[in-house]
Amino acid sequence: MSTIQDFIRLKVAETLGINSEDVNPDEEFMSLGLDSMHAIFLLHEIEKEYDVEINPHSFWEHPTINSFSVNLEKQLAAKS
Amino acid sequence: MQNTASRKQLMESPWKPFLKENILNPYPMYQELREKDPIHKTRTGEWVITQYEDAKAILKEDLFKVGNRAEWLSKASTQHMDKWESFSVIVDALKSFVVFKNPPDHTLLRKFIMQAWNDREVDQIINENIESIFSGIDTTNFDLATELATPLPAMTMTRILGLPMDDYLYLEDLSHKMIRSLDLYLTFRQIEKMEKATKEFIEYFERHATQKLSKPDNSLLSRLIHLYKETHQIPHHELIANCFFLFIAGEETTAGLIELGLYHLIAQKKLNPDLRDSQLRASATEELLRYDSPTQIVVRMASENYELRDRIIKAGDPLTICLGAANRDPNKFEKPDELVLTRNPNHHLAFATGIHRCLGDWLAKKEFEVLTGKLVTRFSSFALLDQPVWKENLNMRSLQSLHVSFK
Repeated sequence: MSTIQDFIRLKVAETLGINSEDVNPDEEFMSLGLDSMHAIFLLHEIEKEYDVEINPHSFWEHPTINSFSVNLEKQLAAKS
Repeated sequence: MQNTASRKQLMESPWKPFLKENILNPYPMYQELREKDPIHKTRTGEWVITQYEDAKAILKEDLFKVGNRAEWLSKASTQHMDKWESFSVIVDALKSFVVFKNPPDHTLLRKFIMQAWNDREVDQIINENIESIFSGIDTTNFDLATELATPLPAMTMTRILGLPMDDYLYLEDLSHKMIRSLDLYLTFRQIEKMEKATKEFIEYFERHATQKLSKPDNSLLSRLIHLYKETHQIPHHELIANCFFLFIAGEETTAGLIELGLYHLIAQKKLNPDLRDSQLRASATEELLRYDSPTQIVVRMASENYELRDRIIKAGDPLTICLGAANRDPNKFEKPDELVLTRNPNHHLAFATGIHRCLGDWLAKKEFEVLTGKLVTRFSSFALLDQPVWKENLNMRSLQSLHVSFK
């Protein structure tokens, strides 16, 4: 499992107040219990961690931890 | 397998406001919704309205309240206090804006503004601003979006409010930051910028309002502050917030109208001497507002249960009303996807309807009509030098750049 994925999974778990292992990385953010408000904070944490600017649309366009991570990896690769 | 795939497709919501292709051209998405599920409930719980009659009924029904975004931000700052440093300034400003207020406060505030803003003699101001812009650009090769459509309304609002002309770029910049508060999806950094811009706006307008108190003139800001002093009908912070709200509202959407309107006229070869006729210019302006509305979406919140045809909208449900979709409804407009400059009647919803109908509609139309009249008198050929670049915002449709040549 990649680091980006781990990081996001951890942050999602923190937000929901559960263990990271209990967060299914293929389940949609929304069905995990995250809403548009959580999205703002989660994306902000990721932006700070990876020093990147994230389009807020990507949270909805890539709505699982796994798909979001893949997309972010691509963005970071393109940047470097 | 094919069966599973098609079933999944059937269940998939056509409402995808986060997809770039839909942001750049929302009309196919609107059409699909209007035809298949015009009162659409999204997975996030809001209703998406795309038919004309539904949109109109909701906008005219007082049990649907405004102020969702301010409520949302305010809820966020209380629920996430630890992370949410303090965004109270932007929340308070949004709550003060006339556009986000409900009756009875709304009625009083709107009346107050209308009472002060009774001077509609703006032709000279607009004409002078256009001349000033033209004197500084090469009209055979320029960016219509940044060099004409954005400065014209900003300069015009600066003059109407009675502020120093040199300040218009500064105010325009603050306005661009604050207008993001209407975006469907926000980022933390955007909210930080909005908060900072709001503080600067307040400081700026407090300072100038004080100056107008000691040196009154005929400007809108002066009239607003003096009306306030005489009547104290509204709180001081609301007065200040609505001064910069008027600037933002008068600037952003009018820039959108000029960009979209001129783009479609040039692209469809309809910017020609026929438009020297003021009557045609007036109906063309209405048609452009319908055809590609600068304000695409407004939101409401149901305060009570409401029956909309066969659906029950519950108290507390948010609604996303797609004005841009209503304005292309074939049940209301014949050949809705065609630009017909002589269309009449043309009861579009570009300025919404009901108690929150845009109060500066006349000014936006006036700026567009005066500008278009001048263009078709002064120039005989209009060409696009490049494809337009759209701003990626579904709520407010406008251009980033549009390179043109006028000869």
